[in-house]
Amino acid sequence: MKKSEAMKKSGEVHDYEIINDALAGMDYSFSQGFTDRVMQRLENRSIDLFSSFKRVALTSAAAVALLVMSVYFTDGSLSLDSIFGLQNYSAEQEFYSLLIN
Amino acid sequence: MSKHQIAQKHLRENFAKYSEGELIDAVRHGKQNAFAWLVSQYQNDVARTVIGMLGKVTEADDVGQEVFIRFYHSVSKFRGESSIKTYLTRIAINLSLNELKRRKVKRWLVFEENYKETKALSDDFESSEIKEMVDLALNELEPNFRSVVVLRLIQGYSTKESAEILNLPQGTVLSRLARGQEKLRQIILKHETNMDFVNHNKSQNTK
Repeated sequence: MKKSEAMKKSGEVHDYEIINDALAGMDYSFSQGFTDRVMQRLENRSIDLFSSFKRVALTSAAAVALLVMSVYFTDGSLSLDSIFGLQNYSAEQEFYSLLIN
Repeated sequence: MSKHQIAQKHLRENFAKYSEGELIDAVRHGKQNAFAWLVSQYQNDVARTVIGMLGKVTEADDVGQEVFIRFYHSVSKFRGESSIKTYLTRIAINLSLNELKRRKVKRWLVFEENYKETKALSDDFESSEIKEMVDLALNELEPNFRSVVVLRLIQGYSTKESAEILNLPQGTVLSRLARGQEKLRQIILKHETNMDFVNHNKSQNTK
């Protein structure tokens, strides 16, 4: 009984050796041109980031330009008061409105 | 000489003389060629981890690429406490585990299909045959065991290093390794590919 167990055990050990040898000899590798693919992907990602930044920047610039133009056409000037919408709003008016309320 | 070989030769001439630290500095300073050299140097290490974890599937290549891209973006955080290889292996293991979680495929079905394919393709019982069987059995192993088997037996990391990479106690690594090996053996035996049978045929072939 003991002998057969020992034989079984040695068989197991032998199996493990075979498995371990097979694992140690695994020659996994990526297909040729892997480095180029990584570098290409890296480049594409930078381009993507730049183009999305560019898109946001252009949209913002266009919005600001439209705002400035609308202020100019409405009030005829580009002063700070015009931009903040206070062109036709005098300090006296503000004072009286505070008194009334 | 192909275009690829010329590029490789060019990289070797320029960067082979530099240490890991110097190459990392060059990458930090935006030298893309230094990074390309690092990719070419460590791609096989990453392949062993990623393909060991995911099997020979198309996603393995994508995950491999993502490993290097993550490395590139985190290169400023790399403090050199571990080697580049260990650092990349850690990223590769984490991304592979994520991919396995995402996939959620019935692995045993994949095993059956692949196994039938390789049986039909193989003509003789060579060591490559055993490798194929072990490779396919590895795909059937649960990710926790697989990661330990890949690090210890394919990559050749020590128990301590594997424990550091996986962020596990050394005792857990040892027990998972022992159980992983036993599970691998059982998987192979379950598919009626007795190792002794293979061995017997192999020895007959060599006679």
